[in-house]
Amino acid sequence: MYNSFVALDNLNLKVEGGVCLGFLGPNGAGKTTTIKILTTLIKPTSGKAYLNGIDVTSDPKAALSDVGAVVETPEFYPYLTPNEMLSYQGELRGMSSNEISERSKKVLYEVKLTEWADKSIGSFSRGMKQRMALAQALLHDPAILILDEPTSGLDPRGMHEVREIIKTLKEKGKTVFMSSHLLSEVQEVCDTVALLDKGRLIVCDKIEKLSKVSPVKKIEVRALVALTDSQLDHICRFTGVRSVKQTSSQVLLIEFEGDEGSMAELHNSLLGIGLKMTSFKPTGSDLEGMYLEIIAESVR
Amino acid sequence: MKSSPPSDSEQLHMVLRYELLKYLRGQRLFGILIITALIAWLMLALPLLLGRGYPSDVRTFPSTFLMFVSILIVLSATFFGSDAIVSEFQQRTGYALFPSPIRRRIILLGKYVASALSSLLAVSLYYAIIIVSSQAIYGTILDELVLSYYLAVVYMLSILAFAFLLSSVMKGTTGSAVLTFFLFQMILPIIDVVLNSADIDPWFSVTNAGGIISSILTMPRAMGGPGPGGSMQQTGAAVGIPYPLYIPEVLSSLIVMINYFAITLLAAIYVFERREL
Repeated sequence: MYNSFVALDNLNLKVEGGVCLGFLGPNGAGKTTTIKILTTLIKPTSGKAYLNGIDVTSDPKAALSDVGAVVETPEFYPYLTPNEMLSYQGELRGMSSNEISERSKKVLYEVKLTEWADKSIGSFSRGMKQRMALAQALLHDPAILILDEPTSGLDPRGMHEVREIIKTLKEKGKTVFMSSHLLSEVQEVCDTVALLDKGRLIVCDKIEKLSKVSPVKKIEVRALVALTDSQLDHICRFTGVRSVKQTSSQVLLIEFEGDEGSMAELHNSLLGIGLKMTSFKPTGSDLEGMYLEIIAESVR
Repeated sequence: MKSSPPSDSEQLHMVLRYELLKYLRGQRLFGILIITALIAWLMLALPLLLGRGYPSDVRTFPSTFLMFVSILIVLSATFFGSDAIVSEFQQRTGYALFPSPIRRRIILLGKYVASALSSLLAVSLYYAIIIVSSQAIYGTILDELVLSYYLAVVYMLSILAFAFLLSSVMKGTTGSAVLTFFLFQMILPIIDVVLNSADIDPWFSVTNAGGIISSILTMPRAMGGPGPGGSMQQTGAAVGIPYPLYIPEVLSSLIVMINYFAITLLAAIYVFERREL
């Protein structure tokens, strides 16, 4: 609670070991507040938060010992190099100098900062600092990773690399608690999703289950030549089509409700009316439909 | 890889080492030592350059030096203490450090010890120059000079602790540095003078207590003055406005400084542990 504003309202969320959980919600939902409580950056006005079964408020040192965290885009002491910063972090975590040296090399390689290992962090770009943040979170090979917008500030290639790292962590059985605004990213790397709105937990379940909440899909159709009024009229009457929006003379956005088989039928029907299609592509993630639907319900 | 975090004392040592590295690489330590040497050089060279020579009284020479000890201590507190905590918040470095398995009080204490050691180096260098010069020019070292050094160290510890409290409370590094410098160099000394002129003994003021560092050589050390702080002396006569001046006593000054040290350091820890990022 900030003054009279309730940032988190009776949030009760348990993440099992080995789960990669995507923590979703609109701006101001309380995602970062939750992460800050877990990483002891703020203290809850009431309630408890546990990591590995240890209360973070009463024993932060023990609770955070097997946790790696990236919260927002942290800054690092500009007078240190990545190797020195990792050495500092490693020492604070009780790692031996050999372990620090080996792990530093490994994690700096993973985040593509090897050639910057001995350069001053003060000269790093935001994206490089984000990579550095991930490196220090991975340094001690923790069982739990708490990642707040881990791909924020990264270029598309960097985002892809970070996602690959998270997927590898998931394969290794690590517990990943990750907040993100990028639904496609969460869908790609996470297996469970928790949706928060106005400080309340709306839903927490496996992605496959949640995707079924909204069967509505958006399909972008591109044609070789401009669509005729007659073709448009036909499309509107096809089974499962909820709405049709013509974004240009050759491009349509169809809102469609149905399973994969119905989608194949729609594809054939479009060909059947003489449409010379150059592409037939579902847009947006399954998660996006679910997200919008659930958030809309929550607002109501 | 599951390693247990080191003990609090080991972690304190780690924070201390990296904080000292900050002072070294940021040229702060070098800067304060240059300032120290410059003040000492001016004190030694100016009398000769102006052709006036050194005073004949063995007491006057070091007492002139000692007038600048408090400035040196305030500068050290500004250099090393004023941004020690606030920078973790303002520059967002706390996002990397605070989620580590280390108690915040250990972070603060490690930084405090680093700043105390750096300040001690500057103060010790200054006193070393005074002592060596006294020996070289007058062939003797006053006992009060050594006592003044110990008092200066205690004063330094209390001012640093106060600076850490300001750093824990303030929002920005610049504001913290400006407030630290002006509070101890102007605001509190002005309050001391005003209280003195109103015939109120400012025995409770840390800057008034710090006055013992230089007054130990020049003022009579009578116990049991008018207030709990020390003796009273008529002064201001030179400008025709006599007003009472309460001179702090060694013991009462020590008690005041130690209290400031303990209370402000504990308050700094209390605030820092509860401050949200």
